[in-house]
Amino acid sequence: MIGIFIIAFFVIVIIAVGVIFYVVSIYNGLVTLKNDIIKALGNIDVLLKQRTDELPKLIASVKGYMKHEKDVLTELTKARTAMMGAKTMAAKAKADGEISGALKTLFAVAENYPNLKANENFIQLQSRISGIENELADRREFYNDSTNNYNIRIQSFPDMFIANMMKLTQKEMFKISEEDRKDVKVEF
Amino acid sequence: MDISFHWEGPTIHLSGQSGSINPIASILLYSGFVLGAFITFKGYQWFRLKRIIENMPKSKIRSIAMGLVEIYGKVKPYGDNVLISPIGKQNCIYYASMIDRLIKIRERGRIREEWRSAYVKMKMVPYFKIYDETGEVLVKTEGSKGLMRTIKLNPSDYKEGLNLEAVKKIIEDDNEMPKVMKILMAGADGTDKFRYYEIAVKPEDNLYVIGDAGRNPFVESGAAQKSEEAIMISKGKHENIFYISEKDEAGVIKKLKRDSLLGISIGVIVMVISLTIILIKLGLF
Repeated sequence: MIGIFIIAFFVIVIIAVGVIFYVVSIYNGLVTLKNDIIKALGNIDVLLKQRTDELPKLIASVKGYMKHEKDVLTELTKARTAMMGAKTMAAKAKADGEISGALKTLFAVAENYPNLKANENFIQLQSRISGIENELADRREFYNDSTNNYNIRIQSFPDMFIANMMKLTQKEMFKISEEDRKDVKVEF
Repeated sequence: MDISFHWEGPTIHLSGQSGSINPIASILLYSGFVLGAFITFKGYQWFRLKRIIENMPKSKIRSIAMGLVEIYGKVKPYGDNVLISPIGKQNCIYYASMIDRLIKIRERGRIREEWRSAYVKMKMVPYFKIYDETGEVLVKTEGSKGLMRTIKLNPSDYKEGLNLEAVKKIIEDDNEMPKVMKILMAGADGTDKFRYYEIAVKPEDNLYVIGDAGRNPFVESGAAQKSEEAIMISKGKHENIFYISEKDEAGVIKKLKRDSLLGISIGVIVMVISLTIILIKLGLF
């Protein structure tokens, strides 16, 4: 009859090991998700830095042509300074939105300057910055997806118990500015 | 209780107990137990992979960052890395082809029919590209899981329409098959009835990839025009996850969920049965 006890003990051990593995996988999964968000944010930072570094070159290339558009250039310079000084994610997101807005205005205004539009240096910079903007949009989306997965996991059963023990709290997503939400008005 | 083992000729006797196990049976039982543990572990690995895939958002190709990435896009061959599938003669980057032959077996004066494998081959190119609406990226296939698997088929999955001459030609045309195998396969006795199955991943087919994005060794540092050109997806040095599938993310998760559940359940059952028989044989019941 000792066999029955051995089998019962074995089954209990298997269940216990299964539970331990499951709990460990939840813990490791949450740690991975938390680090994925940090990594996603770091990857956005890399592009923000690249874009910030390109801005002085862009401003220098357009300054000569757009003498009457001082406001646009001042706004871009201010936004760049704000980005360089931003320490928190919220401040970075705000400055990022301001730079994107100022760049949109700058490229729209540049349409009125045929000589500028034909300038090789400006074309290259515009293409490079537009490329970075597109990559930034993808990485913001990736960050939001990562954050969404993380927020769902820490509120789901049974992960919520381990998340509570790890003192994990919900993370904020990258928000689109109110200006970007507005419909574009096309005037004829 | 004395549970010490000692060899006495070809059998194992348990001191103080009446049971004994034939050495071959004991090896089989212990192997069964180890196999059960292995299947359970594989099930756990599939479960872990499923969790990772569930938690990882898909990346757009132009904004891939270094590290573990998940992408879904269309296949584009890389240079001359193209295969031709043996049966359908389609240009592809991966194929799995199987041909079975109906064999008649005489047994105690009766004739029994059985499908036997006449030709099995799976092959994948070493490199291919995958693209989406934002860009394209190189994939090195070495060490990938998912596509390169043993495909379990139902009888309804097979097609008919091959004759002996066609099968002989397929086998003859296969330069990679050892000569002895060609003779064995081509000369097998049997009927002229064949069934076959072939799956091929062709250019423009959708493919799911999760793997490690690292530096592309074919592009010199700083020479890439676009950031994704400098990247190659492969099996990571530290992270072992590299899975390629013709299914989309939901399909991959569904498959891994089923495989992990089956793996863990079957593994545990095999372990418990092996242990129970070992204990019965040892007279502990």
